[in-house]
Amino acid sequence: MDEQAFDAFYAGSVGRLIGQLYAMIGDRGEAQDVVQEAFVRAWEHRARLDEDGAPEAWVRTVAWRLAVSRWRRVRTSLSFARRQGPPPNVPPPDTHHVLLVQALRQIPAAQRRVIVLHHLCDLEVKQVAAETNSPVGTVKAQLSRGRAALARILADTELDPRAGRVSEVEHG
Amino acid sequence: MADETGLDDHLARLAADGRRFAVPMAAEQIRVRGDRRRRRKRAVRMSGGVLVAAAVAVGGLSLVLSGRGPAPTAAKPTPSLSAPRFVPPTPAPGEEYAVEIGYVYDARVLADGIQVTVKQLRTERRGTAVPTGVVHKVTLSPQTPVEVEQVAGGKPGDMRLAELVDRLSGGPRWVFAVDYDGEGRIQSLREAVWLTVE
Repeated sequence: MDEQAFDAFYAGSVGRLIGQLYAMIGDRGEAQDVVQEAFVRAWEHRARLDEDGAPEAWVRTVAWRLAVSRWRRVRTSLSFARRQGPPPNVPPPDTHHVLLVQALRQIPAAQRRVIVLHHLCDLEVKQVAAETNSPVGTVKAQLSRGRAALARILADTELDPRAGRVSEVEHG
Repeated sequence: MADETGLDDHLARLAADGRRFAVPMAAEQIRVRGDRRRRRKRAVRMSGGVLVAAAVAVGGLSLVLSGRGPAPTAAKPTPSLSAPRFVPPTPAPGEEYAVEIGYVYDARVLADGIQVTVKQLRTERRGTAVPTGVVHKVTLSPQTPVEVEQVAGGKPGDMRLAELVDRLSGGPRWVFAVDYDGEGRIQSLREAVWLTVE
């Protein structure tokens, strides 16, 4: 992958990956940090990236691995905070997003990851199994348990599906 | 995947929110950092790893942690005490760390850090581990971060190795996951509370 191809790959996928990692880990700043760090490694290992043939999945996997360890997370955040200065002044997430992030944080990380890969990244169960290096049966069980847990946690909240669909207008 | 819970829609909106406020670095900066990492690793390899690795670790961390107290430094393991010989694990492609599981014990304060003995374990069935026969010593920075639980009385938390010397000074009792970076240096310890040793 040459510079031009890498820049196009980065420009075309960095926003999407930050959104996906945000859903997986529930912190916007941290999602951006780990995705950028994963892209740094992608450029460092670009020959391997070419061989792999699925660069976006590679970056997402590396970003997830960076995010899962507390120590790694602290180091990455400190490092990027130093390089980038104070975070930009962004508005807080809306209430529905806070509810969803809180609910996602209450389920095990592995369930959260497969739910995001399947429901947000539109990966088939088989593809989720390949990306997470897990058996298909495990992924199915994690999806089922994760969805059930989320439904329980979100019951009687504004995100409870029984309360009707959330207004599209409200969310722009 | 459409479902009755509206999960797809909720997640899509959440991800769009994360994307909307992202201010990623320019691609060029990402490449510069990637090139720098590559050069640094090459320099470490060419110099035999010791001096440059120490300089990079101390320099890098002191910049990151300036004003935050003493910086943790990485440590390279010393040769094995017994056969089979110990070889530091290498991170898998795309991973930052490789993990060695083992008892960490016999902690002693030395002039240049804290020496501990690691009795390596191999995970067998889910949740169980058995000794591999490899035992080695390593000298670590007193500031090495340690995730603790049982060793700290059952309360999960973060400590520095210096605070655990007393508890780790006896025989093998506490099992840890030991995180090695790409240069074979130990960056952190995490108590492996999920494992039972057979």
